[in-house]
This record gives sequence, C-alpha cells and structure tokens, in this order.
Amino acid sequence: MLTDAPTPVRDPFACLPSELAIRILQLYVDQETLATLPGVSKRWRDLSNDPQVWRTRIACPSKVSDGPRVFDRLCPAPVHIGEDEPGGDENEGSISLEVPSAKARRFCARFLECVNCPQKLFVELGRLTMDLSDDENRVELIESGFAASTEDDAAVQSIAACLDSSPRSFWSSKPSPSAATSEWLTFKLTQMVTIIHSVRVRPYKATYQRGMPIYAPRRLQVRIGISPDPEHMHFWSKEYPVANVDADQDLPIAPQLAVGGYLHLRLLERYQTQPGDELYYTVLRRVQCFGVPLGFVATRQPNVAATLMRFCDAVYHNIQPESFAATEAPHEREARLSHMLSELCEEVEPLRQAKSLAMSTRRDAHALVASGDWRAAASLVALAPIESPVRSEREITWLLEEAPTTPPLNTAMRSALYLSQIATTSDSAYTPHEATYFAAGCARSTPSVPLIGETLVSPDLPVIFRAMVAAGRLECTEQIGDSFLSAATANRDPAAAGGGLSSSLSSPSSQRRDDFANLTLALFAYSRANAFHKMADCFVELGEYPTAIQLAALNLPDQLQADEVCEGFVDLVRKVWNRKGRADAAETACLLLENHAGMRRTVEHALGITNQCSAVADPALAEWIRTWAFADDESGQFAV
Amino acid sequence: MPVILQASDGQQFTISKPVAERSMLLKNMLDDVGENEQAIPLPNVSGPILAAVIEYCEHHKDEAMPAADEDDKVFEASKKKPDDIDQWDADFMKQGKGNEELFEIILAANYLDIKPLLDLGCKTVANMIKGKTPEQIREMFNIENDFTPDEEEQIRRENEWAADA
Repeated sequence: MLTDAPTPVRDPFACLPSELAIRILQLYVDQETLATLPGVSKRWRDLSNDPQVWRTRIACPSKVSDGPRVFDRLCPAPVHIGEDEPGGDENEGSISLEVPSAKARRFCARFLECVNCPQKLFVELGRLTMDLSDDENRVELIESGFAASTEDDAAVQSIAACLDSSPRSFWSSKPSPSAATSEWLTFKLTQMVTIIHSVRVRPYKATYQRGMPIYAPRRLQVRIGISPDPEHMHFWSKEYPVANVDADQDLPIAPQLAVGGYLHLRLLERYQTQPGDELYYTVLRRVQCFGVPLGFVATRQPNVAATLMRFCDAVYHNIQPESFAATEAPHEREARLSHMLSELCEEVEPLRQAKSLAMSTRRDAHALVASGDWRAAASLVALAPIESPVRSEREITWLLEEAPTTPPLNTAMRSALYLSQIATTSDSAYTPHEATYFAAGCARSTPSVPLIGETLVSPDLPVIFRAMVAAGRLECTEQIGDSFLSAATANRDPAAAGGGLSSSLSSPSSQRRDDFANLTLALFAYSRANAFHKMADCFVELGEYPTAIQLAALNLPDQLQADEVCEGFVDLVRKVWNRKGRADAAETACLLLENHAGMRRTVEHALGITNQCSAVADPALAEWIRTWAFADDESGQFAV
Repeated sequence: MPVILQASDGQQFTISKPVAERSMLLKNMLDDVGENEQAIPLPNVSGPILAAVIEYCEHHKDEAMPAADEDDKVFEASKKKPDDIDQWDADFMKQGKGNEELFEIILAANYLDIKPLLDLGCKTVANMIKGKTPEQIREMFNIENDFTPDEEEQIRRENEWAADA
C-alpha cells in the first residue's frame, strides 16, 4: 500500500492531531506492534502510553488482532457479554440463561472504572494468562458446598459428597419424571476473590445398578459471583455440552477473566432414568474448580490484584447497598482494600508454601527419574504429604509411565504396587486409610485392569484389590467374589473339616492366613455386588453362623409359613454340614430354632432326623439335636 | 437537487444529495438549512483532497450508513481488523497519493464526519506501521530519534513484556 509511496513522507503523528493518533492506536494497531511504538520518538511514546489507548483494549476480547503470544491474555472485563444463543426452547419454570446485555455492560463499565493504570494492567494480564496456563500454578479452589437445588439424600448424597475423590460418593438430585428438569449447585471458593481457570465435572456411574447407568446433565453453565445469589452473579459462561460418560470433563473458563468467591453450576436437563423407578436423575461424582486465589497473584500482578479487589468490592457493595462504603472517601477505600488484599495474601501463604514445596519435590522426582533412579523418585512421591499435588493422578500416571521396563517393576501394576508398599512402610506417616487412599490413586493411574489371575498370586492382593475397587478400576461382580471364595476353599479338604473353622483358623499355617484374606476379599466383592446369599457362604466358611443365618433370611419371603419347610435354610444347614461337619450343622440348626419361630420342620428336614425325633417335645429339641450331633454314627455328607 | 461545495482554495464541486449525505456534517447541515443553491464553504479542505473525498463518497453512495453509536465504541473496537480493506478502497488509497494526502484525507474525513473513510484512513496508517521496528518506522517517516541513550534503554526495559513470550 502506501509504504511504497514516493518520498518525502512525513510523520503521521506529527501531522495528525493527538485525538486522531490515539484513535488509530486504540482501535487499529495490534498489540504486538503497539508494544514497540514507544521506541520511535517521544511523541510516539507519549501517544502509545496514553491510558485511553489501553483502556479500550482491556475491555475488549483479546483474540482480535492480537499476536498468538503473550497477548493471549485473559480477556476482561470479568463479565460475559451475552453473545451466545439463548438456551433454546426452555421448559416452563426454567430460568433464561442469557445474561441481559445491559446488565453485563453495567458490570463492564464498573470494571473499567476500577482500572487505574490500564497499560500496566494489560501487561500483567498477559503474564497472568501465561502463569495460569501452567497447571503448576493452579490450585483447587472449592472450599465447600454452599447450596443445591435438591439433594436426594441429605445425609450421604449431599453437595459435599461430590467434593472428594472417592468414586463411591456422589451428589444426587431428587428424581423427576421429566428429562427437561434442571438443577443447580453453588460452591464457596477458598477466597472471596479468586481467579477461575476451569471447572471439571465427573458424572456418576452407578456400577451397582442394572446396566451401570451414568447420570450426567446434558448441558452445563458456569456462573461466578461475589455473592452466592446466582441472579447477582456477574459472570455467566456459555452453555457447555456434557457427555454422558464416566470421565472427567473440563470446562475452560480462561482466557475469559472470571473472578469471584462463589461458583454456581446450572445443570441443564438429564439423560438417564434409574432402573426401578424409571425417573430421571442428575448425579455428579465430583466437581472441581481450578485457578488461583487472589492472594497468589498480588506479588506478581499487583495491578490485577488491586483492580480486581476494587471491582469485587464495587460489585459486593452494590449487592449490599446498606453498606458504609457509600460514605467512604476514595483514599479510605483504597486503604481498606489494600488491607483486605494483604489479609488475603497472608491467608493463602501456607497454601502457597505447600505448593512451592510440592513443586520442588516434583522437580526432584523428575530429576531422579531422568538420572535413572526410579525407585528413589517413587519413594519421594509415595512419602510426600497425602494431599500434595506431587501425588496427583497426573503425577502418578507420569511416574508409572516412566517405570523401569525390567522386572520386577516392568508393569504399571507392579510399579503401582511398589508405590503403595512404600506408602505403608514404617517410614511413612500415614494412617492405613491414607495408605489405601494413595494405593487407590496408584491403581487409578494404571493403564488397565490387570487379570484377576495375576492379582490372585500376589501376596499384596488385599491392599491392591481394595485399592482397585475403591478407585473404580475394577467392578465388583459376583464372579470376582466366586474366584476369591474358591481360592479360599480350594486347599481345604472338606472331609477333614470336622472340627469347625475355629480350630482350623487357629492353625499357624500361612495357608490359613491366605484363606482368611481371600475370604474377606470374597466378602468384600459380594457385598459390593449385593450378592447376599454368597456372603452367607463366606460366613459359613468363617464359622459365623448367626450372621450367615441373618443373610440367608434376607432372601426369604417376609412371611414365613409356620411349620413349612424353608428351603433357603435347608440349603444353609446342609452347606454347613458339607463344609464344616455335622456338629456345626447341628449348631446352626439350633440357632435357627432359637431365633426363628416355626423352624422345627425345616430343621428336621435339613438334618434328616424327621423320623428319629418325632417323639421329642419342642423345648427339648435343641438339646436332642446337640446330643445327636456328637453321636458316633452318621457323619456322611448331604448331596446339595 | 444538487449540493455545491467550495474547497479552501475556492474550487467548487457540484454533487448529488445522497453523495453529500455520506458526510454526517453535511447531512446535518442540509437538514438544518434545507435546500439552498449557495455553495457550502469547507475552509479546512483543499480542492484536491475534496475531490478525492467526493470520489470515495460517489463510490459508496448506495451503501447503508453504519450505525454511529458512540457508546458502543469500546465493544465495537474488538470487531475492527486492520487488514480487511476491500480492493476498491485499497486502490483508492494508493492512487498517486503520498502520505501527506493520506493524512489530509483522514483530517477531512474527521472534519466532514465520514466514519467509513476515517476508518479506512486509520487502517491504512495502522497497516503502514504494523510489525515494524522503531528504527524502520523512523526511517519510513523521516522521524528524528529524540531519545537519549538512557531513555532508550529505559523504554526497552519497560516493553520487555512484549518479547518475553
């Protein structure tokens, strides 16, 4: 264009009045160029540093005419201008998700009023974006659940239940006959002023239900504000689609500058009905929010911190108009806000230190792996404080990927096991619960579920199996329970089982200990799989007959007909006979007689004594059976 | 009814009303005084520049006027891209014009309040300096470096952020 024009050419900013020069710089020059212009001359420097030039840029999304580099900054103002399409055909009673644009502009104007030094703010926002893009600098921001639209069970399915890492705890909505029903959750963040980078949600998969359904919402909107009232919140995100899968789903908020102390999630519509009641539910296993508390950025981005304090203060006091702030002089306000900011910094100092310690541990671990000492790195990670980011899923996954390719640590599973073992050594300061928690994290990070056959021969089976199940890597089925139960009983000769389990358990043999461990695991698996009758089998093996009877009773009809043969109990007694011998079967029968009315015929049938004891009166029957059991004859088996 | 414009050098131009109304200044003036056979004096605009401005307005006379909402300026700014200039406009800015003329057209567009032409002029200037180093810009426009070495060093430091990506 005119760059090829013939000389002489003159300085445009000497010819044009300042007003027009600033207009050019403000609206048409990209930021990368703008940063170099102050070096041209004093006139150019003064024009390019004019606050007017930068003020405009702060209020505009950064993506236009920016270079791809540092200028991919957060884009203020910290409000969402309703540019997305409205939610479509919302059902009656649901709330419109479109931010009223006038409202958004008021917030935006308010933000601009809070900007004292636009150029510095702009530059700092560039740095802040860079800092935030590195997850080393981000922390989890949710402090607690604040409120939920509904909770299906206030005791165990409350909003708090979606804040831990357990795959078993979840928040559940109340049921609804309509898939169009929406829900919401509000969370309090660690500080009143935090910068939010992203939100992560994990829908809940009900592994214990038929078909293992997942209960995700169909769409999700994020709102952020200074007050917990969603209508007063100044940041409304677009609607994110949510997939109905059992996986973490990240909803990016940056590069929009979202700042606030409360996070509000609108969970729009549903996918799934519950087998049984055929009603729709929304269920989340976990909600996380990542970003930085303002206390983190005050040193590196003082202008951002001060500006956001002013903004949040302004928004807050608009919500609470009775506040004294209206009568406050500007310098008093600045002093108050800077005091508040320093308090925010102090508040997060322990968190910041823990974070920086964790990061140095992480660097050390990486250095050890690089130098070939994987085991040392594993120890470092396994012995780090329980909530240290060094022990995050991502880090453990990395560590397992870096594991040696030679035995005995050549599989991710074995490496995970090794990590778990370190965590349970005497060197570690963990409680058994914490060690299991960590083992769960390790198991979760392994790339695949190992063959049950491999784990069965492992001496560390209990810890790793529990960990696998707790981590949701292994679905407990009746079949898995069966494999443990058969492992527990494979080595025992039923014919020799005359003295009951109490005597066999007192044996010091390691075989007995393994059997016991396998039995508890079978119990664990059966209980997860809701296989009560199989649990009864385990208790039979353990000699816990009263419990076995109670479990067997769970499968029986509510009203037992008096003096009818109850097949469930017959099976139980005969099973005891076959596994434990006649004396134990007799003892079980006596327990039945004592605890359940009308069991006489059942017991007689089960023990095959109908003809022998017909003359014995009811109160004397138990005594008769005990005597009979210790008689020398008839110790054969019943074919079940 | 034609409108007669008189440039600062006395040169007169007769143009149609739709062409004149590309200028918000002239449009408001015509609305106020009504139809008038007297020439409108434009003491801030020279004949050659006014001729160029009229050429631009003639070409664009059938286009819809952009909504001039000053309150939206802040948001509008995000939509402006310096490189989306259409071919006719680009040629128009090039044809035998030194940048002296370019600056005068910008001034005239500003004075006459012809927003699209002002936009075009500003974009053209922005494109001239885009991606240039301070040295290249000084050379291009014959600008004297009026900084002391110390000042230059200070400016370099202040703007390091642009290079630290």
